[in-house]
Amino acid sequence: MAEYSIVGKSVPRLDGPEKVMGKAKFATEEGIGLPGMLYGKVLHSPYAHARILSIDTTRAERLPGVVTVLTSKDVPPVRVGTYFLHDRYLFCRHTVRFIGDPVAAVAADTVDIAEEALDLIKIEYEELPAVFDPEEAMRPDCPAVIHPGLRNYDRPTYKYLGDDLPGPNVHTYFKIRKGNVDDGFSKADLIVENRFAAKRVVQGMLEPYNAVVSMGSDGILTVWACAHCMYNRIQYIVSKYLEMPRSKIRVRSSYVGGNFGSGERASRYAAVLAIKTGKPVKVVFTREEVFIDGFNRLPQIIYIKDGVKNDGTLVAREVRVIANSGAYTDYTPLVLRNGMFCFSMYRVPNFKLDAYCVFTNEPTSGAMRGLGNEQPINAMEQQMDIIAEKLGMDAVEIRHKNLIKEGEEDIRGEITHSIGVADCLDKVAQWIGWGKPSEEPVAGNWKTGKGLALGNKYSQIDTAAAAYVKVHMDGTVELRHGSDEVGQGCNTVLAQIVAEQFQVPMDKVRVTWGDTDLTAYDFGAGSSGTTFKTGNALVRACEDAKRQMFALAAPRLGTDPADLETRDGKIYVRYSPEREIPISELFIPSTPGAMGTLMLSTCLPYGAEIIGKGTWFGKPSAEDPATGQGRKLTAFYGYTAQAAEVAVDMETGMVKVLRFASAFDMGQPINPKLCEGQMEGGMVMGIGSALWEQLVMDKGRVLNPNFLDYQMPLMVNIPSGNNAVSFIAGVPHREGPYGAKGVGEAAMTAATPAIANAVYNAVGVRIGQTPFTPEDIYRALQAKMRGGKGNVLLP
Amino acid sequence: MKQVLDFTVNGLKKQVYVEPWWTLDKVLREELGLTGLKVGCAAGACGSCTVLIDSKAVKSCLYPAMKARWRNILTIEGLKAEGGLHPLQQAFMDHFALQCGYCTPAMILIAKALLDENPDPTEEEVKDYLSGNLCRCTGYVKIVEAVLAAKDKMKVRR
Repeated sequence: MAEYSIVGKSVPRLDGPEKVMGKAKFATEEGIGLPGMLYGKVLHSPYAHARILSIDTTRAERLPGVVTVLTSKDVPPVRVGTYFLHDRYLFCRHTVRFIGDPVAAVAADTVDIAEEALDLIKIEYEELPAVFDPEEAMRPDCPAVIHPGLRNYDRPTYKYLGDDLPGPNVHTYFKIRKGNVDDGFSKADLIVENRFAAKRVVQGMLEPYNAVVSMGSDGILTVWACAHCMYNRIQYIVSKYLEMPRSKIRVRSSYVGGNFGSGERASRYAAVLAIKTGKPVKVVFTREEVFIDGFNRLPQIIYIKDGVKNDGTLVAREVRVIANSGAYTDYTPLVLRNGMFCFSMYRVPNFKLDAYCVFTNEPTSGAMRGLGNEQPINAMEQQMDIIAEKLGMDAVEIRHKNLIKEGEEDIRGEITHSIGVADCLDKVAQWIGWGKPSEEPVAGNWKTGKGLALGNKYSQIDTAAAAYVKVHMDGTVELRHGSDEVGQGCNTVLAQIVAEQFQVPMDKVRVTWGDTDLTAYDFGAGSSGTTFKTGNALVRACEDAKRQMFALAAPRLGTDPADLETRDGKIYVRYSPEREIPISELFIPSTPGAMGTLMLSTCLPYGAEIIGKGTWFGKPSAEDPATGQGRKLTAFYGYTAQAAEVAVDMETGMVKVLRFASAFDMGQPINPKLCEGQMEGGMVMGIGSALWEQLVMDKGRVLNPNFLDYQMPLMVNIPSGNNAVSFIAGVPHREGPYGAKGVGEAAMTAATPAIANAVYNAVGVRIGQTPFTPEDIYRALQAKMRGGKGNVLLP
Repeated sequence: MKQVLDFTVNGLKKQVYVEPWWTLDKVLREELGLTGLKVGCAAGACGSCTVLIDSKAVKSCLYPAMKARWRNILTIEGLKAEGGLHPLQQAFMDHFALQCGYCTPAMILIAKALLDENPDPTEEEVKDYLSGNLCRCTGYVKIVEAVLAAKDKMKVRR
């Protein structure tokens, strides 16, 4: 890999000092001590599906301290959503569709008063038939129809996903066709068919949704939010709901307390309350609200059928997916479609996929780290082990045999580029001691085993980012980006790219972000894409700024701009570096006899300031809606291999992860330690969703909407020190900045099947549905002891 | 009816008027502007609001403010060592033991409580002691690393 000065080095995080001293500001700090600020609270539906007969807010309005109570009649009657399907009113108008659906909001002097006022709002409901099982909801004759007007809803993009819908509750249908699966299966020596499922899990970011919104006297609405995608998920949505032009909405954000795809839901309510009251309004969701009225991970049921030759070659694969989007869509049309891109990992000549996303009366699903890929990867990667065992092959060997290679066409017609997954596989297999029995001595009834799996995650191409670079007169370079610092370290990584471009130390780079008035459009921190798309935009912005600098410097150095380069705040002539001038001198007027304020000017003779602009714009190819085929459908793929060694308690079915290895191909790592951080975070989130995490549902009600009953991994649960390792195995991408790709999401995709495979290798039972609870494993162990197959437990 | 709360925060005597039902997190954040502590769940489950009361780690979102009367509170803003950052703060930076930073002040404080109580904890003891504090970003690996590294530095100093 190429050597760079700052790219590829683990420079310390720029936000480290602020964060360890407790000085880093998050949106939750906004508004503290702001005079006149009101507190908003949202009232949620207690029914899973019901008609609203009447709403009486008079008692709530009379409560001292209450400033306003809003319901659907107070806001424009517009349905909004993400840019796939507009299906959701700000407040339910006639119908509530899940337990937690917002029906009203209150602004009051204190949080306590606002909460009390919610109890005084009287709503009469008439219950409607509800449906919770996606396969039931999918039937053409399902008695509960959740969005009877679906066919008339606005679909701003991906209109084809709404064609050929087989039932009234199906909102998205995505197909992939390649070759002919019937032919393929007829040539197979072995056919393996299984059903897998993934339960609803949550992003679990620690900062709850919150926002402070105020309307300025100049008519500009300022939205301070724990933003994820300032432009797409906040400005766009607020502007649609309030029917305000986007130019009048200034979104501000600072550090965000984690996100993992969860978006943000408080700002729209704070905005409408701020406009109605003319006061700043702060809305902070409770943790329970975040659990119930957030956008959690899309539950999927996956039927997978594989045909293989005796030598392990995959000849056909047929997949059918039914996903439970809950009551509204949010990002689920994209999650469903793009989640299926994971199947491009292997060379499969005959491939057929039908994926459906279905409304139910459960809470709304949406984007979560991995964007729908983690669920089918669990199916695919358990399936690979099942096939290997049936053929008497090694799990590593069967993967190597079928892995797609550089230059090959994948199941969607895209030509594979930059794939380092084979190397990742070898690295984790070696570290875990693949093929050797477990070394850990285990007492009692515990049995140990090892397992491994592969994962991938594409990054979206149908997206864009723009960035600015301003060169200050002391030679400091300021970058302005519109992505989100959600903890991944993008400020540091982007600053490294700029430092490399200008060949200056990190302390000569300044980062401005989190303000739509100061930064250019950016899709935001999604799809593992900030390094790639914002990084590419910044490289171009740097080139633009340097072009301007060199044009100013060339006459002074008596040469052509093309001969100039910059380093350490100086501009020099490439072929005779002793001819140089400091950047600061460009700002000193060269006019003879300059005097007065002109001498203080930081204005340049022309161009006013050195501000470089750059844009990265994805250029997807056409896609055939009937087959899902196209030539350029993703920006890149990040790849991982993960291996686990687990212990399973034969008496209780409990699983402990003893050792864990990740290897990752993120292209050129810009900051290896930050990449490791993503891999370790992904490992643990993956372990959590494999073993413990699920929203427990009972007829649409979430039974565990809190961090005590919803079990996220704790420090005691995870391997650390010598028992956890992260390998970097990047293969540079020709379109990435310095060859970089991305790392955030794929980092958790293989953990679940790696653990499933390890559990199988330990005790001979296999669970298809995540999480693999002790109860499921115990029942499978009992079934196996009774002589049953104890293999894939049909959920 | 607001009551008078007299207590010591980061070495300074403070007097604040508080409602009897207020919890300590609210007083520290909203009345005293000590926003380094974060509220993640308001139910004592995530630990982001951890502060030290008389050197013991306490989840301030569950702690009635009036119970803090005459006690000594340490928040992240008061954590210092001679010459600047506390070894734990330095170790968290050096080892990349933070990402979004929402849990970080609390993690550092609970790690301090551990090291004050047990200057030489094992890896397992660190994990056990810090397990009441959630971190969703880092996967904990580098936090454990940082605490052990800070421990070594502090041992040398002693």
